[in-house]
Order: sequence, then C-alpha cells, then structure tokens
Amino acid sequence: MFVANKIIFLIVLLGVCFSWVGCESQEKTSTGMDLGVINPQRDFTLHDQDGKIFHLKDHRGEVILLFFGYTSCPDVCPTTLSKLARVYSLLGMGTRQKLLTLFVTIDPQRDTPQKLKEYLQYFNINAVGLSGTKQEIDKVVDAYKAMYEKVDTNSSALGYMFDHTDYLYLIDKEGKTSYLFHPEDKAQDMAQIIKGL
Amino acid sequence: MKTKNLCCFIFIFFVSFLSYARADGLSKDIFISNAWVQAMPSSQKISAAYMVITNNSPKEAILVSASSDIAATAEIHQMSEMNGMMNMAMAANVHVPAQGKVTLQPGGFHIMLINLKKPLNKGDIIPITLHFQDGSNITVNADVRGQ
Repeated sequence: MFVANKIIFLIVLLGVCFSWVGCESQEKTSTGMDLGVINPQRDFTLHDQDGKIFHLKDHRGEVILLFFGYTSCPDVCPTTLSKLARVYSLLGMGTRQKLLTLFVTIDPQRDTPQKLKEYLQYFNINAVGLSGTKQEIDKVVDAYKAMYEKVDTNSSALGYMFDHTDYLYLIDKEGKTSYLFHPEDKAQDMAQIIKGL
Repeated sequence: MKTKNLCCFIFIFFVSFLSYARADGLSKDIFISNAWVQAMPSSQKISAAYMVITNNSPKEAILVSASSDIAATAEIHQMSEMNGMMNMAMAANVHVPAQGKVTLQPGGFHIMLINLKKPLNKGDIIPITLHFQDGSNITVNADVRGQ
C-alpha cells in the first residue's frame, strides 16, 4: 500500500514538473509574443513618403512599430492603424514622440509616396510610409519573415488584392525586434509593453 | 436641468435608432444592429461595413448581396487566415441561423464598399441595403467610425 502511494505521488510530481516546463516555454505575456534576445538587428533601407532614403539604423534610440500592408487594404490595415491610434493616445507625450510607426507597402505599384503620406496622416499617428522596388521590399519582408501574395480577383470590382501577414513588429531602441503583436492584442496591453521599453 | 437630460435622452435614442433597422416583407424577424463603416482618407475609394444580423425567425436567413448609394459596388467578403496570412475573398452569401445571429466584423465577414462616390467622414450616416435570398430587403443606416 505504501509503495503504491509512493508511485502515485511520483506520477503526480512528474505531471506538475512537466506542466511547469510547458508553461515556461510559452510566451511571457498574454499580449504579443516576446521574442527575447534571439532576434538580431535587421536593418534595411527603403524610400520614405517624401522620396528620401530611409535607413532603419538611423533611428536607434526610437521605439519602432513595423507593419507590412497596402493602402487599398480594406480590412486588416485600417483596423490595425486605427488600433495604433488608440495605442498612441494611451501613451504619454515623451513615449509618443519616441514611437515611430513604419508602414512598408507591399503594393508599390499603386501606393505612390503621396498616397502613402495622405493615408497615414489620416490616422493621426507618428508614421512614415516606406516603399521601394519589389525586390527591395521583398528583401525586408523576408528579413522579418513576413509574407504576402498578390491575388487577382477577377470576380470582384476590387481588382487585385494581397494576402498578407498581419503582425506588428515592435523594434526596441537598439534595433532589435523584441515583440510581435497580433491583431487580437488589445491597445491598452500594447501600450503597456511599449512604455516598458 | 431636466430639459437638458430629456434632450440628451432623445438624442441618444435617435442615434441608436439610426444604426438599427427592421425588415419588411418575409424577413420581419431580422434585425440589424451596431452597423458601422470604417472611415477612410478621402483618397481611398473603398471601405468596409460591419454589423450584427439577428434572425429571430424559425427559418435560416441567407444574405446574398448588398447595395448602397454611396458606392458603385457593394460585395460580401470574408477574411480568413490561410497559410499564415490573412486572405480576403468574395463570399457568395452569409447564412444567419434560425434564432441566431451573425456578426460582420473586422477579420471576418464584411460588406466591401467599392468605388466610393464621396469621402466617408467620421459621423456620417450611410444607408446600406441588405438583400436576402427570400427576396426581402433591409435598409440600415450605418454610422461612419474612425479617426
């Protein structure tokens, strides 16, 4: 009887240990995905909405939110940018001024610098639209392991659209991607994490 | 003070009524609530409309199309995650179960308003007509929300 109890105790103990290890290997918070220190700096160069060359490495000391989208995007992009407007509103002036949103277009054919500028100004956030040749943009997309695919919609009046990833990359002041925010993450939780950087 | 409160109540009631519509014809038991349209920069010729469709009838209701004076074309679309990416595709219809509801929301079903005839500004009220398979139509006033 005593031996049986001991075996049961050991099984329960092992179960607790395994579940603990399982919890530890998951994300550190309920918001976004903490990428920790495994991510190197992924510098890139593109053209901004004023036609000037934009180097990410020139923005060390600023917190960056990076998003890949396009201005004709009917659902994901405006929803994300509207949420970012709420995130900005939750931050103090100091943090807000040091938070730069980069909107990299995956549709350079339609998204002219002027269009990008007007689009982003509308959302009233500190944002810069970035573009380049398809090859230049693809290089950045690949570096951040994002994805997109052009979809021709013959049956729709929309013309072509894009399937694309909808993450927001949070790049810290040292240029390292420290968090990956998902669409379900709440503005308040995102603001909290940004304040902590 | 009492007059002020009464005015506030009437205003709130009126605004609530604007985004709430009831059907005529066969779909008398279908109710639309919380209808809204994403405000967009004036350069954008597209936007999306969202709402909750509640079906109180004992039969399934099927939304087959939509139209609006504000846009040249209105289409039913659905977002879904596919191969790690968000995919948007035209949907032939939206099934609203008997005694149930369907929410058209960002990341899911929505009505695409394509080739907008005028800019959509926050606070505007946009009429959208929903066409159901049984031939009934519902016109809802959606408010434009955004920055």
